[in-house]
Amino acid sequence: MTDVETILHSRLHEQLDDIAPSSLTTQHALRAGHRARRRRSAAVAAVAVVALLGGATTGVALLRSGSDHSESVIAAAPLADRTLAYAEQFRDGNFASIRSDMTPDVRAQLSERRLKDAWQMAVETFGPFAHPDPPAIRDAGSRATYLLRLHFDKGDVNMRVTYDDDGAVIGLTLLSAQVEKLATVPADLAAASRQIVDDLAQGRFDSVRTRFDDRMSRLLPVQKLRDGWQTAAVQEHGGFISTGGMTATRVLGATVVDVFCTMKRGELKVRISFDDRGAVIGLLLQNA
Amino acid sequence: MPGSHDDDFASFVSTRSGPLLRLAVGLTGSRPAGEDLLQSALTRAYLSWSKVRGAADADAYVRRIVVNSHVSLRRRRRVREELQSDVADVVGTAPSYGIDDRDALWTALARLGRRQRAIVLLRYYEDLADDQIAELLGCSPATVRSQAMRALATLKDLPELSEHKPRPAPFTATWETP
Repeated sequence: MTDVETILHSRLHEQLDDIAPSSLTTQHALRAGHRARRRRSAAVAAVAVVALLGGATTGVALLRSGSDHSESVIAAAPLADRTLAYAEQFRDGNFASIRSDMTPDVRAQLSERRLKDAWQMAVETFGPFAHPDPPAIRDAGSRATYLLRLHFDKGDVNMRVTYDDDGAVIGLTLLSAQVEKLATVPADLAAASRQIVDDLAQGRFDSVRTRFDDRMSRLLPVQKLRDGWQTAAVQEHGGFISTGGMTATRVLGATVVDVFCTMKRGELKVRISFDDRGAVIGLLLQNA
Repeated sequence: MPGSHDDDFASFVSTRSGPLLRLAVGLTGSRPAGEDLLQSALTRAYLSWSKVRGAADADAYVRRIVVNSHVSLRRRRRVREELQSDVADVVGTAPSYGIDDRDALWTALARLGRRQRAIVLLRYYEDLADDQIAELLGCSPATVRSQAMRALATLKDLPELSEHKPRPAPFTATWETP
């Protein structure tokens, strides 16, 4: 062996030999296997929609757009408790525990570092975390989204956690609750938003992506964008007809434009977030 | 029977997850990323469990899933971010290691491409022969050798691995030394 080979051999063993798996590895592996098997056999594939809203957004929501959401005030116990526990785990810096309940897709997109950065941003913006409100639930078929208002000393943050029917986390976002509604949509952003919706409707997904910032470009490749539009706009709403009104809000330095689209079946809201340079930092398709 | 399928899988994971996790951590450079990789690989193994059990060497089959999952993933940037985060963790929690050495090893390996890094791990940690590595990666032994040579050439020129520093004594041993 050469010197380098000898060094590699010895150091790799020194660094790795003491690593032991968690006692929960087997349970997690089984749970993940069960989820994957059910997901594979499901008739309807989950569709990735979206990403970020405003500067304080941390996550990627993976939602199946579809049936109307009905909102109730009090959430069912087990998932509500878990949602509350995530707030405590954010506060305590226990990001690994939060991630252990995520599906592999979401884990791949939300590293511990990203969760930590998001929480730090919330604390830097709004001061120390005080307490959460009781969670509310938005139920959509087999999926459930829990909404939790987190109170900090100088402002609030909305945490949204979406679970699949096995209780795995398929979406997690932190959004600033401090929003400022704008009287009018800035002209340049209105034009850009209209063009984006038009490009989506015409299948020009590459053109849409040219407006993305680097992070969005990584999160939403063409195929994911196409799948999201196909499911939300075509399968669920029958197809695009025309663009309607728009509203805008300011959220932590970002401008969020909601475009209300008339569809063959109902109305679709396309929510587009822009940074101050006009780059798209978030895109969300929702039932209006 | 689903029960025996699950029992069999659980038994495999409980006995083999240690070595597989160590391989995954070595491939990715950090424990969180290694756990992610292993979980994804085990999920794939679960879905193909009848094939895994039918293979001549189930352990090698799953190891192949781990390695190929890593090689095929295009997420260098994320791994690099997590590597930095892991180094920060080590400073606070692992006094028994020489921090600089640990940092240096992963920094050096991060300079390699995924396939070269996998070959280094399989050669110098798993102690596999080149033809075994070739079979696992689906390439020829000659490719393994040439990739290994390139990897070693890259590592040889790095100051982090250019000289064999004496290993620092474990923290506990230091305590016992007058």
